[in-house]
Amino acid sequence: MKDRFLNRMAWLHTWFGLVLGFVLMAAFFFGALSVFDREIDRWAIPETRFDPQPMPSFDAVLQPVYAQLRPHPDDMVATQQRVIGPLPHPDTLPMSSLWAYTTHRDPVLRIGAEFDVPNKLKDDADEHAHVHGWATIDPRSGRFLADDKLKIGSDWFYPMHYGLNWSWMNLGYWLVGLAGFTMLAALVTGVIMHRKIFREFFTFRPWKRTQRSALDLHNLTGVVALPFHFFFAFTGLVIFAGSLYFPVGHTLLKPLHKQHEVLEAQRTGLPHEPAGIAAPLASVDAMVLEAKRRWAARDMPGEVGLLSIEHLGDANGYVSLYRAGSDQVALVGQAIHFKASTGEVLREEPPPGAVGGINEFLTGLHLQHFEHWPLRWLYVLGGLLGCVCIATGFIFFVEKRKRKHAESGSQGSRIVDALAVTTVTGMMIAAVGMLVINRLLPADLAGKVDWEKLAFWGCWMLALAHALWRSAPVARARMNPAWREQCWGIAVLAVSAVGLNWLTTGDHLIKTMSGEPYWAVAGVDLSLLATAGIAAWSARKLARREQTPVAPMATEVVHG
Amino acid sequence: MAEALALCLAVLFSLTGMGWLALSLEVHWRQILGRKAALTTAKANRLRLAGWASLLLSAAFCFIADRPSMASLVWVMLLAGAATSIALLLAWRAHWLRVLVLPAWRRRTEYRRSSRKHGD
Amino acid sequence: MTDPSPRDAALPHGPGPHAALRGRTRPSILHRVAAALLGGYAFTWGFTTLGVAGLVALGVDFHEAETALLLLAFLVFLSLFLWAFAAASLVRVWAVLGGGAVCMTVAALALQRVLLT
Repeated sequence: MKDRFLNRMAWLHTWFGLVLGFVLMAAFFFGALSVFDREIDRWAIPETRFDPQPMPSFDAVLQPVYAQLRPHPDDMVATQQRVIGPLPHPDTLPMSSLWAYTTHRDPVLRIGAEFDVPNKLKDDADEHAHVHGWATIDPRSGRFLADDKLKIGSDWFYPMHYGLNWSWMNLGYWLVGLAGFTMLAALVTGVIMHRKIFREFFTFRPWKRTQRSALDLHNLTGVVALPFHFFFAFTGLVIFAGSLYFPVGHTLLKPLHKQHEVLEAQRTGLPHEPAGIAAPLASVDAMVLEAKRRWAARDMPGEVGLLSIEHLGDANGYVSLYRAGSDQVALVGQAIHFKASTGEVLREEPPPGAVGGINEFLTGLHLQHFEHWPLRWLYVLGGLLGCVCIATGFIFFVEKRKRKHAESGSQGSRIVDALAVTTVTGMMIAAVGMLVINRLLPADLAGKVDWEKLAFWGCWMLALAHALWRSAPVARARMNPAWREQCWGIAVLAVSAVGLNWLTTGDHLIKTMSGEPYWAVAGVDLSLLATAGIAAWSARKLARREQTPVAPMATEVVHG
Repeated sequence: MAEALALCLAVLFSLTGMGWLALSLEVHWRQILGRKAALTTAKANRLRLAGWASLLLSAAFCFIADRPSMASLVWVMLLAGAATSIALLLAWRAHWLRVLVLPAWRRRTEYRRSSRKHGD
Repeated sequence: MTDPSPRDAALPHGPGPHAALRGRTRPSILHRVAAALLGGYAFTWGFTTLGVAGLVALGVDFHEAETALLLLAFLVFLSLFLWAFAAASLVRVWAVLGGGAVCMTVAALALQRVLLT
């Protein structure tokens, strides 16, 4: 009975871990990069290399900016497919709501707006008769920044982390969700299988056979960062639960949800619907001053992180100011809402209840908009420990089977190993290769964004082809030389990226680290150099392992 | 500045704490002090106590440095980092951890130390 | 390489002829995976829906109830998922997960109708 239970848990751990491990690896690796997504953006878009800015004055800077903001052509196309009849010219659509969002790490400001659409919708259940506009501006001048520059950190690596940049049918999100869920299951089953958690807590014996040392490292990285792994997989799922994985409030319980919203609007005094009467906008800067005064009075002075206006130009319009959560785990909060036409305070949100507080803490710890650089680096460490855990899981899987497969002529471990190479070193080649291409292509090249994305996928495919091409030794129970060769590839690419950054922008490490340091770019450069160093070191170690003769058939290695 | 100092101390105590907890395991005690070094139960208990105390101290410094919600995150992540560092030290630079062996614990084991680097 | 063979199933524990999944055919493994994933997911849907409706009926704020249940949802799903793999009888797994999902969803919708009138 107990044996059957243990075996089933082991089966679950092995096969779900293997199949979803490839996706999970991407989630962990790009998650670790996303901790510094804004800094990678600065590296990739040199004209935005200036200091982080607070929310600019609405009256002086933002109002003229919003006056120029138009529905985005991409969303015009997407919305056209949902409505009956042709959409009016984008210049004629009235803006009904707007937002601006910043954190303590953002030099540039992201803004957006919703524009009302007069057309009837094709789907009766669709209630979203809006088209969106968005832009990135320089908050110092209000100048619009070119829309065709890819923010490699926050618009490529970050969405890669939770959706694989695969939006068709939201399949990327579902795959990552399934992988995250698998992580939870793998952690529980892993703990059940691992019989010596405490005795082997610090055990890593690199001098032992690859199978044994890989398992050591698998257990070590899984166990020491267990709380990190569990809470990040869990909170990642929770973040998308309400909108994607379990959208009860938008489906089965939609009537109840709607009733609540109407009641809520009555209770809070924040109008759910526009009044239909035009009204001017009072000074938002005055409201910001009042909000800051109230936050300070509650002993938590702070900056505005999120500014939004609902029912713009309407008598029911209101302005919401959320405090930037730079000194707390929760993202933004302590919202204060003002009547847009007069500036009077409509509502000051009370602190969240117990459940709301827990939820804010859990999602905030994952989305990490707080100001704490050491903790950011510890998160990178946690993410990389997760990567090591998954990668050593692959290696253990292959090492355990490859001798048997060599004898029976099975190609199974050979294919798994090639896929593991692609997911471990190949993914790094794709990421660093993209940065190299970003610096090689001229800044004003038309369609640069698409070339960069192509370079990312292209590098990855090349890595896959290379791993498969070199995989024959695995079928003879030896090591795939692609591991070592791709490590050298990473080292060369990473050093080139640092060199190219210097050549194309003049920002070399001495300049970015001394005098007036610019740590965002220096940090990316230093991380690239560290990556190159570790990759080269690994390549040399791997060369030594490749030399060792094939050990005789293992008698037995107990997992755990 | 005071926060940075408190954080540095938190890092230090998390490392010593994890180091002592590692030493309280016979396999690592022998790895560091030689194959024949005996780890009595009393000594192991003392090491375990010192380890946990040091980890608690590290937590205390985290809470001095940051707000409680943030400090709890920092501490949990520090533990992961410290445990990894100790494990890697044990793998490649085990003898460095001898600095954690207090003279009182060392006295009767030192002369029996063998020259083996890795005992397992 | 992704087809779990009964022989591999016993491998993580290396030794031991006590392969629990031995003798199980591949369709039965896929069947169990489907039961654990789809059944568990459906049950969790029902649980979440009924939980939210129930809490609202008890006077809890809708969003507060939704948040609480969504925090619980993945823990419930995880437990069901593991149980579905451990359980001896697949029929029982389907009965509990499928039956639970249907009953709770129906109950939640009925409760919602009462709440809205």
